Amino acid sequence: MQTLEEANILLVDDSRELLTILTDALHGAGFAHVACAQSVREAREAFARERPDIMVLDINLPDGDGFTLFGQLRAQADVPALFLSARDADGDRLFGLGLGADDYLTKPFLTQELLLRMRTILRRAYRTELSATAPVRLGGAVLRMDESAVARADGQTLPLTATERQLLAVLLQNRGRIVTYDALCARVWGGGYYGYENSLNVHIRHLREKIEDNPSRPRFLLTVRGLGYKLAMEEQP
Amino acid sequence: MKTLSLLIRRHVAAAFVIVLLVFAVNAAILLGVVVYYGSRQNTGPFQLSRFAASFAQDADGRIAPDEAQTDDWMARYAFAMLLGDDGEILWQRDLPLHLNHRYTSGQIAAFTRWYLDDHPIFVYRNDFGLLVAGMPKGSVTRFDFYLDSALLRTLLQLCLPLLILDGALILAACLLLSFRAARGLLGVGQGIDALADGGAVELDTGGMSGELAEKLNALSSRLAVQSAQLARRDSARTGWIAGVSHDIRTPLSLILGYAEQIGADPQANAVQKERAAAIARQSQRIRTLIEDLNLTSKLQYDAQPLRAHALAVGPFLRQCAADFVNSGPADHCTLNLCVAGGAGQTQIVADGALLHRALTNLLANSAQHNPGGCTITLSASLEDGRLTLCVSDDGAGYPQAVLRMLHGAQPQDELSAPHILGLHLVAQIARAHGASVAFLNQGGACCRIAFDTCALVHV
Repeated sequence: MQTLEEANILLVDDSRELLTILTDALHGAGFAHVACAQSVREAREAFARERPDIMVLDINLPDGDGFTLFGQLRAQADVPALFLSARDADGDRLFGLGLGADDYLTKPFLTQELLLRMRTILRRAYRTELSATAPVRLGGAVLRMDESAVARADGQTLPLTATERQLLAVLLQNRGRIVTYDALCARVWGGGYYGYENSLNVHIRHLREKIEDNPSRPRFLLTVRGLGYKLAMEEQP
Repeated sequence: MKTLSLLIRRHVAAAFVIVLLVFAVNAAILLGVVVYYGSRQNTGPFQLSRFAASFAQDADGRIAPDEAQTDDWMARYAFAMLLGDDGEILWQRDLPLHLNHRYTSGQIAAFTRWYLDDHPIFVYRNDFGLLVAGMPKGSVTRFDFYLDSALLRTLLQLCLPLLILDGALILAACLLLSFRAARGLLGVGQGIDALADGGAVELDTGGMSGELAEKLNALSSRLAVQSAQLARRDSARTGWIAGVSHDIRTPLSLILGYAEQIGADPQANAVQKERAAAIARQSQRIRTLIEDLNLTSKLQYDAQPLRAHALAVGPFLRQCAADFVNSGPADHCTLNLCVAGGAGQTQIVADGALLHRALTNLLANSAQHNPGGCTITLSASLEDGRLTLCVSDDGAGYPQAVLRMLHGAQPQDELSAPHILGLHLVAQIARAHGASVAFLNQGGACCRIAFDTCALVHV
C-alpha cells in the first residue's frame, strides 16, 4: 500500500442503506477498495476472500455481535478496526477499546469525522509502508513531510526540525480545527509539558518564518487567542 | 457502648433512689408514730413513778396518794391498789370486788409480769409498798421478751454487713435487669440506624423489646420490597430510554449521511446545499438531544457512574472552547476564554466527559438562542478556595419561564412548558459533582458552576 487511498476497507453493518452511504463517501474520498458485509457470516467470508487493511464494525449484527467478530478476525490477523455503533454507553466504548480496537465512533456521526479517523488509523498502522505523504501546498510554500522540509516559492528548501515537524503533523491532522496549546505541548513534550508554552511560541514563530510569506501577518498558521493554533484550510485574507 | 452504660447507670441510680425513698418514707412514718405514742408514753400510764411518789401517810396512819392528782391519774387506769409487804391492800381505787383480797408473793410475781384478771398490770414500788395499776382490758399487749446476749451481740455485729449485702444484692439485681433491658433497646437502636442507612434488619424478637423488634423487622421487610420495586422501575425506565435512543441512532445516521451526500453533490444548487446543511445541523441537534435525554435519565436514577479524576482546569477549558469552535455552530458568535489568577493552574476532581458536556451545552445554548450573534465568555476564577466556572453571553438572556423552571417551578401546562433538557442536564452534572449551579440574567444569560474546596486537588 503506497497511499492511504489504496487501502482495502471492510465495512460491516446490518443496515444496507448505511453501507451504501459509507461506500459512496469512501469512494468520493478516493478509497476504491471497499467491501461490505451485513452479518458476521458475510464479514468472515469477506475477510477470508481478501484481507482488509482496516475494518469498520457495527456491534449489533443479526447473527452475532461485533465484539466477538472483532476478536475472531483479530486472532487471524492484526487488522486495525474502528467500531461504529449506536451503543453509546461508556461500558460498550471501554469494552470495545479494551479489546484492542483502534477507535470507537457512535451513531449518528459525521461522515467526514469517520473518514478522518480512518485516515488517522491507517496512517498510524501503516506508517512504514506508506511511501509518501502527499505534499501540502500552503500558498507559495510546499510542505514535504516525508523529507521534513519546506520548499518555498523563492526556490529555497528549508529543513524542519524534529519539533517543527511534529507540530506541523498535529496541525495538518487537524487542519481547519483549533489545536490547543496544551495539546500541542503534550504531543511534543509529553505529559509534563508545563513551562514549555514559551518554547511552543518560539517554534511556531520559526515555522511561520519558513512557511509564511509574511510571518508577521500569517495566512495559514493562525493564532487563536487564548486557545491555541490552527492551520487554515484555505488562505486567509 | 456509651448509650448502654448511660442506660445502666440511670437504671441503677433510679433503683437506689427508689429504695432510699421507700426507706425514708417508712422511717418517717414509723418515727412519727413512735414520736406520737412516745409522747403519750412519757405522760401516759406507763410512768407510775410520779403516781407512786405521790403517796403519803397522814396523821391517822392512812396511806393515800395526793387527792388532787388521783382523779387525773385514775383516768388512765381501770383500777389501782397499793400492796404492803405482806400482800395486804393498803389503798385501792376502783378495784373490782373479786380482786379485793390479800395477795400471796406468788400471785404478785405472776401478775407483775403479765395480767391480773386480763387487765395488763404495771407496778411501781414506793416507801409504803407496791403500787399496782391495772390497765383496761385489751388496751396493752404485753410480751415476755428476752434475748441471749451472745445472740444480741451477733445481731448487732451483723447489722452493717447485712446492710452492705442488701445494697450489693440490690445493685446486682439492678445491673442485671437494666443491662438486659438496655441491650434489647440498643439492638433496637442499631436496627433503626440500619434502616436509616437503607440496610436490612433482622432483630432478635426475644426479651423486653421483642415487640418493638418484631415491628422493626416487619418494617425492614416492607422497605426492602419497596426499594426493590423502585430499583426495578428505575432500571426499566433508564433501559427504555436507552433502548429508544439506541433505535433512533441508526436512522439518524442515514439522515445525516444523505444530507452530507447532498451537500457534497456538485450538481446540487446553492439552495439544495443549504437545505442539506440545515438537515445535517438539525440531525446533529437531534443527536445531542438524544444524548442529553439518555444522560439525564441515567443521572436522575443514579445509573451514571462518575468517573472522576484530577482535571487541570486551564487545559480543560481551552479544549472545551476549541472543541466548541471546531464543531461549527458558533460561527456567528465570538468566544472569549478568561481564566483568572490561579484558576488556570488549579486541578479539580471531576468527570471530564460530563463536565465537558455541561459546558458544551451552555455554549451551544448561547449560540442557539442568539442567532444574530453574540459574545460568549467562558471563564474560571478561584476565590476563597472555591473554583467557579462561568458561561455567559451578552445576548437575549434566559426567558423568565426558563429561569422559573430551572429554579424548580412547575409549568402550568405541558404545551407552554419551556424545554430545558440541556440546561437541566447542566444542573444535574453540577449536582453530581457536589457543585452548586446558578442560572441568572446578567447582561445576557449567565450560568455559574461553583465547586467546593473539597473538589480541588490539593498538592
